[in-house]
Amino acid sequence: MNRRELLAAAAAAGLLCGSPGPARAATAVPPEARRLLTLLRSPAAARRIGRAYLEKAGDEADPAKLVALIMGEGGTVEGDLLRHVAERQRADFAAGRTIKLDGWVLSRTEARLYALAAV
Amino acid sequence: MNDADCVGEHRVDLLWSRLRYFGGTTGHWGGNCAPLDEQDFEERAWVPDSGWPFPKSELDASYPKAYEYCELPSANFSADYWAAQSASFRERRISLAGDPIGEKIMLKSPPTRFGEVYRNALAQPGNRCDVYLHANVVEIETNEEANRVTALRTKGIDGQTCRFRAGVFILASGIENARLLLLSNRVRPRGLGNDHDVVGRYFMAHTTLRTGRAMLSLPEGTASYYATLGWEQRFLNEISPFIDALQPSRAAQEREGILNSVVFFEESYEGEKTPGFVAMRRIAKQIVHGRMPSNLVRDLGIVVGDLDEVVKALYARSVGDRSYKILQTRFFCEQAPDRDSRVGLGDDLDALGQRKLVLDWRLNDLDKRTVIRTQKLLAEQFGGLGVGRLQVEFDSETDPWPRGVDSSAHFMGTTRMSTDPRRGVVDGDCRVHGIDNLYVAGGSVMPTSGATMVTVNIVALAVRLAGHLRSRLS
Repeated sequence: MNRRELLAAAAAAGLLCGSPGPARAATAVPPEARRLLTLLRSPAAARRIGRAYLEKAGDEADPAKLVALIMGEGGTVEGDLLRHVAERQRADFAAGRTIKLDGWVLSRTEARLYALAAV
Repeated sequence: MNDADCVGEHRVDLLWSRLRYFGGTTGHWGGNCAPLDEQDFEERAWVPDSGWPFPKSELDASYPKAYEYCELPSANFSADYWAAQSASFRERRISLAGDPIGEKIMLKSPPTRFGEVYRNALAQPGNRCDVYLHANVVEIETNEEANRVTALRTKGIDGQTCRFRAGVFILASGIENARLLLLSNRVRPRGLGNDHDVVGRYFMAHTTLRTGRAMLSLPEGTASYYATLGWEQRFLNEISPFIDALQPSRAAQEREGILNSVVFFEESYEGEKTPGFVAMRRIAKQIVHGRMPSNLVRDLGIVVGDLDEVVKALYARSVGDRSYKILQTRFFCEQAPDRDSRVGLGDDLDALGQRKLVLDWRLNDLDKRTVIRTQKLLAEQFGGLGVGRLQVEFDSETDPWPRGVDSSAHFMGTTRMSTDPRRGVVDGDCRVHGIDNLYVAGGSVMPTSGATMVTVNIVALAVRLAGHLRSRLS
């Protein structure tokens, strides 16, 4: 994973800046997963990072499990999904729930979002 | 005469980094200035041998004069103040939470070359100061009890010797202070002020390491406010004589059990830090300076072996391709006081027939932990704020130190200050324990190094010592 891939994935997910892009959701995933995947503008870059995450967390290689972990309690969000994910991500960093992928320090939530694109 | 040997894992160039002439190392000083922090003076439970004999508030009275001597444009070290002064900084300032990561402002001295700026004043008729150049002190002479200095014996390169007598003596030559005390062993075989084997010990520098990089979502030009390199370009365009360093808060330092530190950014292009590019720079630099490159064959081999990275970096630089631009993080950390990190006397002799210094600079686990945990705090802070992400390269306390650990040529300790003669060479007034009229000035008296540039703090300590001597002599 190089810097440009991470840049593409992170920016595309609106997690560094910007807003969600057009929907390009995968088809064989549960409804909530589809909503989450709409946050990604560069699924290819996200998939590469996601695969790196799944190499470390193979037991999470399941869309339903990943959705539950990304969304948190309740498993669904009615309102602004991007804001919800961004808040979960901020909370991860504050609590030290991070993971290093190729040295990049990412929040667990964002890494799982990328993993969702890879499963 | 400045040449010295280094033993141990970490090396410094003591010949290049010290200047033995009037004005000393202010002759190549970068000019960054900031006072030490309050915690630098405190005894911190997680930092063995920390604590000064006095709190920062006592040195505060000496800083205004020190800022004046260093020709600082202001005495205000508040980031909010400078944000109010500079619209450009206001727009680019990284909005930090303060805890775990806050800011430390460093102000820019021109820089003041003391030897040039103050030479005329010292040469004025009627000045009460006499300056003797080329009078190298080779021995501190004392009475039989070694509790009072009687004279300093000097020797020139031409072999001519002199003896200087005075009521009070002040040593002010960095880590050479320790060397002089050790060399002056006629009455005390272990050297002066060394009854407890502390002279030369607790050598410290600022652990400086470029490691990891940042990907930040910030306006163009932000990095220049957080970089020690290239800030001059910014200064030409606007009045902003400061650098804003990122600093773990006092509370975060305590929670994490780490030393004080600050972090800067350095902007470069991908590939510029690769061995091939570094070797190419080495060759070019020597050619530009009219020298035949040393190790030319070896360096050319490294360039060829790394050719794709070298070409990529050259291309990115030449066309200014921002997609290849990276922000490297540069850690600048307080060093843990360590009794085994020390200078001593070697067997080789210098041009005056004096034993040369031998340096054994040691970094310990606390130093390593400080870099790694500061890195983690920074990554979490940037992530939490949505500012960006950090890529870390050095992330395990069990790993060896990466290549490139540097001292910033900030040499401190070796005649450290302590009220306890078993833990320090000088007392709180900077007087050598057990010797009535011998004082030490400079970074060698600092018990801890803080995470700031040294010069202005050395000047503040000198102002404080001057005040003490004025009242003693009056």
